Amino acid sequence: MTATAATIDGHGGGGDAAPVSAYHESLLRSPLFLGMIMFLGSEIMLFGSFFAIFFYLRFTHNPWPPTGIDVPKKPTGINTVILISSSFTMHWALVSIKRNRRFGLICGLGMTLMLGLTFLALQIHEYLHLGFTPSNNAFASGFFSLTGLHGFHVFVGATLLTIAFIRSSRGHYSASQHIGLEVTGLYWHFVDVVWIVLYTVVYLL
Amino acid sequence: MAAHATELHAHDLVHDGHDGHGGGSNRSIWLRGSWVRAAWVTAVMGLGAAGVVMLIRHLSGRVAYSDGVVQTFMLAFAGLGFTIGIGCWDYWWGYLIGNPTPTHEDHSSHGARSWKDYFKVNTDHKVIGVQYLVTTFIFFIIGGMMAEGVRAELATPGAQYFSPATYNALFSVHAALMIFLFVIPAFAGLGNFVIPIMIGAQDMAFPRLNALSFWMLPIAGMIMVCSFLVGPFNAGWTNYAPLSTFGPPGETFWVMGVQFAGASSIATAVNFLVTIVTMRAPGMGFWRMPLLVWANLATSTLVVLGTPFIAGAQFQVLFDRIMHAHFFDATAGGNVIVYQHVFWFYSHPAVYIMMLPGFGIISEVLAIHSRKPIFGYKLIAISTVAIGVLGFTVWAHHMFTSGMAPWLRVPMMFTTMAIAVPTGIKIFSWVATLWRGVIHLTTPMLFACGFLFTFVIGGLSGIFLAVIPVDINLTDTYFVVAHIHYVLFGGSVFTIYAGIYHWFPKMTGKMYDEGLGKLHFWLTFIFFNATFMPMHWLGMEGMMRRIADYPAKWADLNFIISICAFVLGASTLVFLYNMAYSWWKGDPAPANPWRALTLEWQVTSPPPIFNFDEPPQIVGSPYAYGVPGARHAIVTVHVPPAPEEIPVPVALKQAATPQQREAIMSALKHILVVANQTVAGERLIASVRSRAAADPVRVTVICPQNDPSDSWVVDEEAVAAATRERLNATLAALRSAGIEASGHVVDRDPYTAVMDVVESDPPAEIIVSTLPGTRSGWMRRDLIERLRTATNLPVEHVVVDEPSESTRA
Amino acid sequence: MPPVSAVAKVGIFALVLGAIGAVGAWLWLPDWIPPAAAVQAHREDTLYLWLLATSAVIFSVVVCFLGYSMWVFRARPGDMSDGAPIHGHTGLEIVWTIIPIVIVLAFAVAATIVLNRNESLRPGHMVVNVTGRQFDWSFTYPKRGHLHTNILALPLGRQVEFRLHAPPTDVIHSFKIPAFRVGEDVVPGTPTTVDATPTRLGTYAIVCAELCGIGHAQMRSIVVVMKPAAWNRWIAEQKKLAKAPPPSSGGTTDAAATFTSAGCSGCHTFKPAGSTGKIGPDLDNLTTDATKYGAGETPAQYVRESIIDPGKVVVSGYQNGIMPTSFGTSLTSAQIDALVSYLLKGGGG
Repeated sequence: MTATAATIDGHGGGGDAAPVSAYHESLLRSPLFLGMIMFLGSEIMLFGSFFAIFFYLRFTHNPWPPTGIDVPKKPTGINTVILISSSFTMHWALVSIKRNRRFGLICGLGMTLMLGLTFLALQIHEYLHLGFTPSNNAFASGFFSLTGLHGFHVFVGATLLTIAFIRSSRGHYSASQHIGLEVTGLYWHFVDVVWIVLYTVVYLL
Repeated sequence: MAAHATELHAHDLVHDGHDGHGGGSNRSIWLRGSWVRAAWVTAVMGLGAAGVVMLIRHLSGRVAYSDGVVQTFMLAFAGLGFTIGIGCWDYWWGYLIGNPTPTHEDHSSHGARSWKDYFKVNTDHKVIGVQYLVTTFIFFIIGGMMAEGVRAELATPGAQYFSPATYNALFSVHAALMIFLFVIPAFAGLGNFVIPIMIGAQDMAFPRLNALSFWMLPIAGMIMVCSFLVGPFNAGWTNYAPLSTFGPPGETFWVMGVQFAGASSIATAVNFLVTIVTMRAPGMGFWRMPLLVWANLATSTLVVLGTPFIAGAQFQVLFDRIMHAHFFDATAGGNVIVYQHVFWFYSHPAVYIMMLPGFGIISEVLAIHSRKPIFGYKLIAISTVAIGVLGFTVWAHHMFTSGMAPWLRVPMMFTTMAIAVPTGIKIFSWVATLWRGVIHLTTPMLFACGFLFTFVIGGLSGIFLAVIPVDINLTDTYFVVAHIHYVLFGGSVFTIYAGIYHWFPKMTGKMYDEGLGKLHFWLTFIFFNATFMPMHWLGMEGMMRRIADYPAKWADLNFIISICAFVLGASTLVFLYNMAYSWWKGDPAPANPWRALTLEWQVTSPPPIFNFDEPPQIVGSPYAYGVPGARHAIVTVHVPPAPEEIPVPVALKQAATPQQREAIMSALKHILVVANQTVAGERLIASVRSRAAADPVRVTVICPQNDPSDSWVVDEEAVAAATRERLNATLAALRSAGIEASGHVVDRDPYTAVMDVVESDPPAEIIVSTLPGTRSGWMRRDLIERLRTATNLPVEHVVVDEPSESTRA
Repeated sequence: MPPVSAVAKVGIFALVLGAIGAVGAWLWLPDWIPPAAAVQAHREDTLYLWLLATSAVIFSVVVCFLGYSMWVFRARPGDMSDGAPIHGHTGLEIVWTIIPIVIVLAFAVAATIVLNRNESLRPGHMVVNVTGRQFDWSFTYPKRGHLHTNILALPLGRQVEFRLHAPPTDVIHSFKIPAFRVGEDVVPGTPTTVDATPTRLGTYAIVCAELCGIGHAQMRSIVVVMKPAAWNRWIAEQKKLAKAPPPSSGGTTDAAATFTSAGCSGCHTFKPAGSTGKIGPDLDNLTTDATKYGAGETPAQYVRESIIDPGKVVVSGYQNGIMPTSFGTSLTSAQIDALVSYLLKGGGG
């Protein structure tokens, strides 16, 4: 029976995995949540491969970044704060649905989405005014590939948030069934954490 | 005359069934998931992406067409378009656009009912497993032909058939196809078929993701093969930068092909991990898992953590090519060696990704065919995990002469040497498993024993290459070519063959031809060794790998190798013929031809669509052969109750005219049955029968199709066809019991549908059949209560709680 | 049921067979592989021999037990019984964990020692700069006025440090001398080094070991190991040649260039090219040799054949196997024709 429930609810990643028993109430017993954790392991390694190349180049070259290249630490710092605060609004949304408060859910999701899109817009603005392009030198290549890869992840996260937002505003999800939100939230937090590492490594160090 | 009534009522059903293909309210073949839609969506998305990119380039003042950029986007979107067109995303689409989560599963694309279903998106892990294997063997043949091309060129010194660029492309594409389109996915295919049944599950954890993973594979393969259209990639499968960043346009095809193949294998690996962790049958602790499951667990972990590194490395090559980035460009601050670090950080674990599932298969085959418990089960399981962990610590042993930091070499040698220990443990344990067994030398067993022979050679030559001074001499020579073929052909391919022969009866329900199987083994074994053994010698003499031409002193040996390679290639034909003919006309296979203990042999051959009627209970070791009274699992099979004798309304049979029929019909007690997914459920039929035993009855079955919560299911045609099929099966079952039955699929929600019938042909009783409350969409809206109140009729609720029961009629 | 001593019997048989294999490998191997021409090569070959001997024993043990089991324990037709329910044997499992650990540790330690010895530079070693580019090798001798050559010549018995580099816009190559058993990648932008101490006179192949594009197979050169005095003379001649461009006479310029670039001048004396190598036959006597050795052939046929297949006829007093056999493929047919007429013209005069 347990196996059946998992099969059916896990179907396609869209289903809300209804906990069948107390044993199943742990999030880690949910195939969807577990699958997302494993997928994030894969994502960490993808970023890891990009970081590995970046670090390798960094430690074989001096000065770093090369002279004449200047990254905007402060404006991006503000952007970092924007992205980090979106993790808190995401958390708010999740806490709200667990207590069945729809206002908090919709507001939280909406704010998270807005903050995420703001981050993306500022990032694009930064690209246009940097004064260098990926083809300038290896630092620039690494800079654009890392921030670009992260930006793509923010875009994917924002897409997931949009879906969650539409569904919430149509009255979906409940205190007992919101695994889709849990998974979206997990992904969004991951994107934030990666940015903190990325900002430290690429901008500050 | 007796069949008259049946014909009468069957008419509209048959009509309906045919109508489904012709249109009506159903979507045409252009719009529903099909090869036709796949073709046009692929073309539109591929060309559309190319057009948009060229437009943007034009508007931003660049030359509109650039090989790299345009091809990259074209391939990415064409590939995505194919998966959309074929129908992988249909089910998710409703979710993505914000429709309610479906409350129950319609199983419309689950299980193969005819051979045509193998060419469609299917969520049944068994169908996907077979799809994987057939696809991978197609690419095995293509890759094999390229290898024969290489051998033809090398048969004599000098340039004969191919230009150096084409020659380099042949061995590059050969390796790429064999690794990414054959060995890795062939194991994924075998695992897909076997693992869920082995652990007592009904399917994988994410069946739709499983289907998507499979359909990305032919895309990856086609992209790689299509690189021949634009100038094939020819920097070797290792694709070392900067040779690759300078390479022909086909390099883009390689990068995109690898990304699709990589995405496919990551998705499959996540699926395997979740399946194995969460869906094991009750009682199957980790120490009761068959060793193939252990192997898959370790392999999937390696895939999830390793594959992103090759994706990363190839993305950066792509950036260097299309964005003129400088990761691997020494003139602008890049570094050449870092590519190799990142590449081998995946590609060494990839060797274990290509080996560990084979080890699992060998453990199964050896124990079963020698009728003996596997020797040292726990140590084999632990060594599997140890190999997986150590696999991430040895990547730089491919780089002893690469000019990397010299201090890194000795630690990497020690870790590499350490891997020899768990590998040795496995080999010794397998040999010990044979000792005092009762060895049945069937084809899978021969391949397993052949594997032991060849893999020992491959393992030992691996130790040669781990010893740095020896590696400095032998690296990039034919010794390495011999080594990798002893490991990946003598290792992986032999185990794939062993696995396919071993599970062929289970997959197809037919036995393969043992004589042809043995012929295939001996041809493969002899000519494999004859082809690759002399290559060790060539390598020691200093013949470099990847050269299109060589000094005349090696002509004789190379000629012999080429002849043997051709025979080796031809031996595959024996295998293909055996498989195809046996599947078509082989003897029927019993459920358990090898008298094995593991779960997949406890179900029918081929297994039922949902594998088990009830989750099996695991009670012991999977390898307890020769232990009196030992059992691995208790499997409960539901046997349908023997049909009871039911009084047939004799008068109806004798009725001559429609008027007479009408009169008799109205005298019978009318029962209305409402069901959709559960329509063919045995409990439902039993329930109707028990009423028929009491009074003469006639039954109207309606399948309300248009459930509002389900309204966005895109492939309506497929859903409707599946429903009709279930309805037909139910009607046939009722009629065979002598019950007068008619029915139709109605395009309404259940409540309205019932009320319609109550108005036009009032029934005496209503039976509603659903899935259990947690999974039934109808039950969530209090259907039963509302019907009772509205009709004032007795309403019985039959709960059918196993989807297997509902679909297996 | 076979008695336990069957294990001992098969085991002893396997060990004996493995030992025979090991000894056989020991006796054969030196004839089997190309002669070792450097100190590093001897050390590597010793390691290789030990590996081969150990492997022979391990292989023999596995295959003997495998073959014995397949034969003795095979099921007779209709036998539906099960084997002995042996689940494992802790002692045995410990043994076959420990023994491989000891073996691989021993090899790893030995390899580390050999590696350190092979790579430690001794005082008085010389330096050669090696440049690899698509698709040729070139060499400079920094202590000899940066003399630049297309073939490598080394004095016997002196350690050489090769400093490898490729132009930053080129691709990776790998500088490899199979007879020395050494090699290292030539990496654009990252200088690398490798060293060897030649111990045997002769001419050996230099190859590119890393796939570098369409000319990969043709990216070859030779290394000539000479006695120190001969090497000094060779260097001096090369310097002279480098200053004065090779004498050209009419249409033979190309052939003269080929004569140098293909490495002929390293071994052969030939006045028109100004070369004085003593390793191969003196080409100034070519016409005489052609009549003497080329039974029934025209001189042109004889010369052509000797370039493509030098082992077919060996001038007495010279050793077979030194001259590369690859000219038939590394030179075009037109180049060989030009070379033949150039040699005959010069050699006949």
